[in-house]
Amino acid sequence: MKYILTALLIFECCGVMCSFSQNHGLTHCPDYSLSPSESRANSFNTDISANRELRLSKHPVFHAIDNDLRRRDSADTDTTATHAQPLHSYQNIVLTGYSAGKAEGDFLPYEGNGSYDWRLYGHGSHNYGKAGTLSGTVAYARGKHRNIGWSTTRFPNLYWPFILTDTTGGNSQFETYDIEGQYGVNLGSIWLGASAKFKGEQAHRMTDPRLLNNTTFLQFGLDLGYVTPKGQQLMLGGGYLRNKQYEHDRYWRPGEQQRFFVVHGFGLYDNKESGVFMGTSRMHYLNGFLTDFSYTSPVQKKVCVTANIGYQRNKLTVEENEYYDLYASTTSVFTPQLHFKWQCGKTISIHLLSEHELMKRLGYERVFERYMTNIAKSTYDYRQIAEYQNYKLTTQQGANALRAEFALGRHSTFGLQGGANYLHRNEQNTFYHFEVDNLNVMPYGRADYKLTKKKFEFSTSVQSGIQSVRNHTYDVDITASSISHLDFQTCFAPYAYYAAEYTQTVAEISYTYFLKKCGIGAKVKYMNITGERLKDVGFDKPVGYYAACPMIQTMPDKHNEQWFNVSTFVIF
Amino acid sequence: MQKYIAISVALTVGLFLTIPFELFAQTKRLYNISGVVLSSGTPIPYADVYIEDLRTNVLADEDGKFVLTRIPQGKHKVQTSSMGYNDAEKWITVSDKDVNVKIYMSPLVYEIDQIQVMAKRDVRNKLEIKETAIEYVQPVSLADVMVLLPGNVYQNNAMTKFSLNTNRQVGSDQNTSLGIGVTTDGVPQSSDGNRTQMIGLTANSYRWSKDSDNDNNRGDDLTKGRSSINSGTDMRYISTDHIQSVEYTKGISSPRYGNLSSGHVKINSKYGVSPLRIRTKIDLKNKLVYAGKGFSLGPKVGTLYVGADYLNAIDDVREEMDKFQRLTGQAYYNNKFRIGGYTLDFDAKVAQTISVNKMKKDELTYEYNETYKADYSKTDFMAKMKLNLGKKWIDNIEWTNSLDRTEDRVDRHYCVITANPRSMPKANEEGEHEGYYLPTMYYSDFYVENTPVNYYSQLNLDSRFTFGKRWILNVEYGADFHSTKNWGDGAVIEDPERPPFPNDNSYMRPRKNWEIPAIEVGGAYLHGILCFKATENQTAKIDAGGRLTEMFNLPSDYALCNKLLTEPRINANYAFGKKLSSNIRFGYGEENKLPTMDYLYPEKTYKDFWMLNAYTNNLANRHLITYTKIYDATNTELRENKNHKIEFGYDASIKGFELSVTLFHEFSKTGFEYFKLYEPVTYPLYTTLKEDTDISNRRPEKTDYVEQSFSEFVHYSKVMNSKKTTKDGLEYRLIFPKIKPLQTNIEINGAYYETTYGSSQPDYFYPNSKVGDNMYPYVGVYDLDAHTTEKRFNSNFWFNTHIPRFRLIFTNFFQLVWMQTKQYSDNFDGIYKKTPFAYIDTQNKTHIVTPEVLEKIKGNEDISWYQLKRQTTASAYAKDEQPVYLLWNIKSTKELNDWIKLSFFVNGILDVHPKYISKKDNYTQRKWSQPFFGMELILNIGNNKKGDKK
Repeated sequence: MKYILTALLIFECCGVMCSFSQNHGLTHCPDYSLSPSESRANSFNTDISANRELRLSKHPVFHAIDNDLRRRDSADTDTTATHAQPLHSYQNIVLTGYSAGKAEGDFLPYEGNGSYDWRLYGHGSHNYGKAGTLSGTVAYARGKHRNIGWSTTRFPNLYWPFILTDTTGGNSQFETYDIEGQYGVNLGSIWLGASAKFKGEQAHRMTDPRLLNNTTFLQFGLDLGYVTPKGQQLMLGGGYLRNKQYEHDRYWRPGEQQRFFVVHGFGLYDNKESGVFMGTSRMHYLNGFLTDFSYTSPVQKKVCVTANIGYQRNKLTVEENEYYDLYASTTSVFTPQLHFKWQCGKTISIHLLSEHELMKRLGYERVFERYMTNIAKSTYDYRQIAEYQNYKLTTQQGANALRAEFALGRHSTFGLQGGANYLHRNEQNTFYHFEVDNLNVMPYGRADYKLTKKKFEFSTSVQSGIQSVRNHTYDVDITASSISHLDFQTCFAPYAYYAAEYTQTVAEISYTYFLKKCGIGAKVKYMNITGERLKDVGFDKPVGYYAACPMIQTMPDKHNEQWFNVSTFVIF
Repeated sequence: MQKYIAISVALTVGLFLTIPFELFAQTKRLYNISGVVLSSGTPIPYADVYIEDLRTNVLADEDGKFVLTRIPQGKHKVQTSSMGYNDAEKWITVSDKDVNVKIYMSPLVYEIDQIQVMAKRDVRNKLEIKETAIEYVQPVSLADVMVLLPGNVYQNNAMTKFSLNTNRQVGSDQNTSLGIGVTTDGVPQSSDGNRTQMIGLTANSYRWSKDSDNDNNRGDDLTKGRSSINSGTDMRYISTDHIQSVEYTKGISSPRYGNLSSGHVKINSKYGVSPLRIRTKIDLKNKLVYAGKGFSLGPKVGTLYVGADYLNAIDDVREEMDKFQRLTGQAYYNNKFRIGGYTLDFDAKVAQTISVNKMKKDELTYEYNETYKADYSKTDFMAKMKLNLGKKWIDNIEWTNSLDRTEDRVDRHYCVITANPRSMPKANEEGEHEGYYLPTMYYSDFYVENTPVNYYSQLNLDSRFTFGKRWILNVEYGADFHSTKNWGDGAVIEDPERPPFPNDNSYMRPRKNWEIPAIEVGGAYLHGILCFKATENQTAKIDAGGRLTEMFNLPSDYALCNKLLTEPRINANYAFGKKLSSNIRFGYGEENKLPTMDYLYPEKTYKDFWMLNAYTNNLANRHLITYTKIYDATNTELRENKNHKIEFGYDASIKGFELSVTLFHEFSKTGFEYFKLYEPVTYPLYTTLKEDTDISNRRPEKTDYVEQSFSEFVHYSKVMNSKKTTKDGLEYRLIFPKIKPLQTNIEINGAYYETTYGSSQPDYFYPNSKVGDNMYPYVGVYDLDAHTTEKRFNSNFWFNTHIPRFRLIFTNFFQLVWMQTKQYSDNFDGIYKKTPFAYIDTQNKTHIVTPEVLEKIKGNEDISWYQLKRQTTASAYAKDEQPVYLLWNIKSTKELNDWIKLSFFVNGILDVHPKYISKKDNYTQRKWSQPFFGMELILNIGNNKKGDKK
């Protein structure tokens, strides 16, 4: 559903939750993306009924409530169910997969234009009766993001616009470790839950000067659940978020005149701190909190309503070796979601989803002075003397969709879905009165089919949409300055990337063969994007710092991208 | 010497004398404890059954049956351990007849509440790290396990380079690292015969020493960083996957173990029957896979445990050259035989370690078409027999033999590029020789072969005597022999006229390692443990003995030749109290570390000077004449490094609380070092052409020049017993009872360490300047007593949450370093203008500085003297003081079922290192710590203990 800006949410890009207790959900891990291409494919390829469940499953108590209710109702038969009856119910999955992708023409330079990765992923859930439900996920992956330019910082969306860049660029090799645990327990009329997530990534580049990025994400959450006597489920959760990225750039070799630019938006950079260095290091910290409230009306009723409201706020601080908090930013994200399910008859259900992500980021630049702490010993330190708030980034993105699901017999379903996604991205510098604005809309259609038999399960889906640009503004002009700037590299390039019209198609096919105690299966996903930048979006000013970095063309270009994933898995 | 022998003998004999004589007459019969070790009715074969207080153990047979012989009357704690099971213990009362018992062990699964993930301490303050604790650390090498020891601080694991081992100190030093004794299955792991010789590799190399004047070319840095020469055991090569348990003695070691000075690490290998275990570990630096299984070979044939692991490690992924790949394999056989009425435990082990990435490459080797082949292979054989006689005077006889051979070879095809053609000597003898000029670029082919072979044999006997109901004396005595010989070729340069490191004229003329005599050491020891059990709750124990050591095969002019070295060691403790159980400890010991092969037989230092240096573009007209002086770094007066240790301790436990505090003081004034000495040298110099001499278009000769006599000082290093190290500190450990609602055990441990590093030798200083046309004529000798004191106080907080129901263990580890300081000081503190008490002139005569000379030195007028005044900046004396810092590590293991365990760890998940202003370096500093994380999967295939758990 969402556009690629999901990385703006700290854990959206690293959550590894696969929380469905039935096997169809086990293989569906939309949050686990190892490349921007995969993120685009997963967020676009959305069954909205699954999307609702995914959102709910972020509450640790959801599993416990689900398990308890399931246990209590195990003797009952849901006569109103239109979904295919689950023939197989598994709690655990081990999956391995390979993905690769590439882009032609425009791309976001800080993301690169190609990737491949390999992953090993495991998820399990176990109910210990009255002692609660424990579920966990563990994943390891490694791969390469190719041709990254104008960012030596990993996950630049998190820190944007305060990133470090150099003039070399290159391929970033990475390995990631993910671990997540959730626990929920019933304490009389309420459920209590706790969760913890960790993701760690180490990435490096072998092109001189060589980079090493060590990035960690940490999240702790507590959750409270209540089910009314009538079956209404209420869940309230809150958590602490922390992200840290240590960046170390070195192996500058004689004869190389690479510069490390400390960028702060619209191509502006800290001129004093962006010299030719033998190497540099930097630390980014993000600290924040999140809350999420969910309401679900009784699921057995013909009409079921689910409402979710989430709010997240985090603060960025950046340390150089000798400074404190050179830059800072605050980011607030509001994520409402509303889902209706109407059971029209025994074989048809209608779903309506409206979900949105509204993000606002304010950037702060700080001025330091050097002062002597001990004149006799020539000891010095730095102190902050001013702070400016000039940078602002807002994004609004979301989707409205309608889905009809038909039961074809007891064990197969067919779904039709249509809707429209939108993205509005606006970046401003109030001091220079710069502004960049993109507004895009993507109407789409989707069809999916699933067949479950005693011996096997087969599912397939295809979803296609056409992005159209409703507005695009690029009001940045700093050529009057005597210093070359990076507005083309770090401001125009993202603008041009979003100012494109294209067709996006994602197809997926999955097959599982069931043995006595487990099932083995394979899944293939493919995404294709074909389009072009708008004809009137070109950069006709001088490009500062021509460099070896991979970069887009100044004039309109293609906007093509292909990505695929092949996975095999065992469920048990 | 006589004094020490007397002390040693007196200590041991004293044990006997403390026993009332009349008790001998009352000696009662000793009894047997026999029984069977079971797990849910199934016998556990080859479990180790022991009574720690009596220092006796026996292996159960294949049916789990055992007999502990000659057990005195009283109440004894019989303990058992076996791979795959939790340790079990049972109190047995022996009255007036043999006793038969059944001991039940529970399987090592997380559903059981007894999982031990921390180090266990015994009454002598020895720490034991068992199978589950090792596994839970998720280690790659033995070095990782050390974080469990109180006082140690977490360090990022580094496999690429050798790191000095430390014990009870802040900072590190070579002598402590060398002095830490590591024994594997009773066999010392010796690195004393290691010699990797090439410039930058041998410790005596000019460029190796820290005081190298010029860092432009420090020889083979790549290999140097990986070498553990003169620095003790390289823990990177000790794979933890073959280890069942580790015992660590920080204080005074048992006299059974010699040739160590800084603590003892005792490693016990895995043996016995076990399911197939596969371990896969991945983290940011290491990728490791291990498989091992213990087989029963059939009735009366014994067991065989076979395991192998492969490790691929790299500290910085960007440093391709630093890849470290290790493959280790081990087979351990054990059996129990009956010979007549006796039992014989037989153990044999074969272990192999090899490096896999033989060809090391990076972009520079590609660019310069170089090759770098590093080959490491170590083979160990061990055979051990223990005959259980159960006789009145001898309980057991144990004979251990081992042989190991290491082949450590570096082959390089190395590109040498110099800015100018360098003048090179060819001489292997002192005096005047023809030299030659090197091209500015060439390839040098060489290899360095280090092949130490160690043989070790030990015969150990133990006896037990009881005197009345309250006195028990266990005596352990025996002798050992250790031989080390290096059979390698040393450094071999294919073409001696194409040296790999030409920028330093101190490079050695290669000597074969096999030309160096073997080191042979013999030792004998006597160790008595006298236990007096006054009441049920009061026990006094004196654990005393000594060790005699002699080095054989030394040249007769060596001070250590025919010298019998003594090492008295005593530990005593008194335990009392019932509700509040207390134990007071005291220990004193002397431990000797003997010099290594490199220290005993160092390389000679060659100093080459050019007398005539006429270089022209015309090859035929070049002429180089060099003058060579050879300095022998051998010090025949070299002695052992004796470390004195004294410690007091108090342990208490009440209602699940446990407290342990140890106060210690250690000092060594005889640590080894290559000490820098100066000597004058005078040689003829030909630089000024005689009048009317024309050397154009011909090769110049000496006769064309005016002969001058030129004097200068040169320095070289000599091995000396001059390093001083003093260690003081307090170690503590506080264990809280389990917080049941949280299912969490809390342990707080840490230490205050104060370590002083210095030298007992005066300091030499040569201004290295000219006075007129001549070199400066004096070397100053200073009574500096320069030393650096480092202090650290840390607390490690361990929160171990074990939820058996979920088969889950989760640990939060917080490390708080409350203070860490480092300060240099000397006898001239606060003066900053250091003056010598003596000086050496160009005739190599030493003069005491007279008041008149001192005035000239202090003044600023006489250029010949005031240069001996040494200036130091105030910051050199400044205390480098770090603010409090905090580190938070987490780790967890989830047992999915009896077969599968999944673990992960994150070190440095939170790191608070505040910015501070370094008074020493005068600028703000920040020490970021990178998070380090990884995960592990363990499969125990065929492990089915469901029945056992019930």
